[in-house]
Amino acid sequence: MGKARLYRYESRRAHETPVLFVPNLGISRPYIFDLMPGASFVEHMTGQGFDFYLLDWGAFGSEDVDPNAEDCITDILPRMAGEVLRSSGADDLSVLGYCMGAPLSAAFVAGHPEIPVRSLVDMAGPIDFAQSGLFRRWLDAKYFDVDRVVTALGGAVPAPAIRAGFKLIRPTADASTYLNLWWNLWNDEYVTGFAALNAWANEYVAIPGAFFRQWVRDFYQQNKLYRGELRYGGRVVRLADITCPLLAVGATQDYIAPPACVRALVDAVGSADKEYIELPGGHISLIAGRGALRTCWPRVSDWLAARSSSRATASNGRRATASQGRGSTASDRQGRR
Amino acid sequence: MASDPVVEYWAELMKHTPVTPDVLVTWKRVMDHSIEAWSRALSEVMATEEFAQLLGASIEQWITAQAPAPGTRGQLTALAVQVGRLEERLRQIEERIDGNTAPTATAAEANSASPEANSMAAEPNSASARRPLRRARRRRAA
Repeated sequence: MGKARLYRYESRRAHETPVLFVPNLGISRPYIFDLMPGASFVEHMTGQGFDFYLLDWGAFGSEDVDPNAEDCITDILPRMAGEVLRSSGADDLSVLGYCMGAPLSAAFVAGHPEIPVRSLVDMAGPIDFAQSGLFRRWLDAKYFDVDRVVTALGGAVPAPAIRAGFKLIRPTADASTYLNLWWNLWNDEYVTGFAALNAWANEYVAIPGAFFRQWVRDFYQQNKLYRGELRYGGRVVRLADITCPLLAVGATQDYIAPPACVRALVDAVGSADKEYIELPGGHISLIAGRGALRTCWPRVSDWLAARSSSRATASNGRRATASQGRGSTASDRQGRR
Repeated sequence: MASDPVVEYWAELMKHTPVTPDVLVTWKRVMDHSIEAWSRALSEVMATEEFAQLLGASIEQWITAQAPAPGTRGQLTALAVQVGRLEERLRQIEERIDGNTAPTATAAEANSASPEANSMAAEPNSASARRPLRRARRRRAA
């Protein structure tokens, strides 16, 4: 399946329904979700009794052209979901998408009714790209010819170009970050957290060229997913075909996926059980760091717990195994040191 | 009179500042506020059509710069001459392979382009002449 890997983090399994977590493809590495003990989404979810499967799309280089978005939605995600069901022995699974992983997940769930998805969570994932802020404006087909750009770049959109785009969207972010670091230099906990988060934040990953073409044209420029015009795998993907329970989580200060474009999913799906919550923070702080442990993660895990079948006999003490990779939480790694 | 947001901010700040202020805390507040104000102002500018147009034009310029430079008229002419000479050399080589080993005046002129070619013309049956021949054939086949 190319560079994609699926990491399984086993829990005491208080809930029968495992969670497939789908992060962004390219841009950054997924270890942000298991950054450090006490600041790990993986640790939180397994602590709540969910078997957690983390999809790692891969660390792409400037030579990578594939996969495209259609491959991700019609091939990789169905196969990963199948692997989750097979390895967990569960009857169904929950899908949790973050950032661009959320629209990919939504398209996958909508287009594959044969896969038993119990519930879907969109965390800071843009759905109505007409409301997706500065990137939508900059990537407008009037000014941005994605084919010419990708052709000029060769294979992939390289990490420095990704970095430039994200620095531009919030030009004062570095000033604010370093001012706060200076202010908190006496605070060991803050400095430790900063060091871990800053290292991740500056490790940009290329986006495969074929993916970038479809991502920009079909999602940003033509808004096909939201408009019900996305035709992948020989069938039209309609968000209205999503009927499982849905939770959408927006962040008040999210510049990348502003709340309005996340909230749009709630109105687009056909689910009877659906909810939108808006939490303080930005695109990253919504899901990473100790603040997320207080605000976002418990809301998500509580919502999922209420919609997962519980298990009468919990099997304790199982460790992380992996379908195509091996997962161990940040706490495990610290314990081994 | 319209209120000035900066004056308003300072008035609000001073209202909550103790009589003996912590200068550092006040400075941090001012810095935070300034950064936030800059961020808002820049975001407003970057959200305009004009900025998107400018960004698009910059990217277009970059793409154009990535394309291989066409070179000057003189360089192109010189390149065409070299290609012509190479074609002539290949023709000569093909003739020699076919059994016609007598170098012509034209071939001698063309061969003066490189020392290796000169040795071919002088000693057509020597090992040093045969090696380049084989290389040329391989290149031609490719």
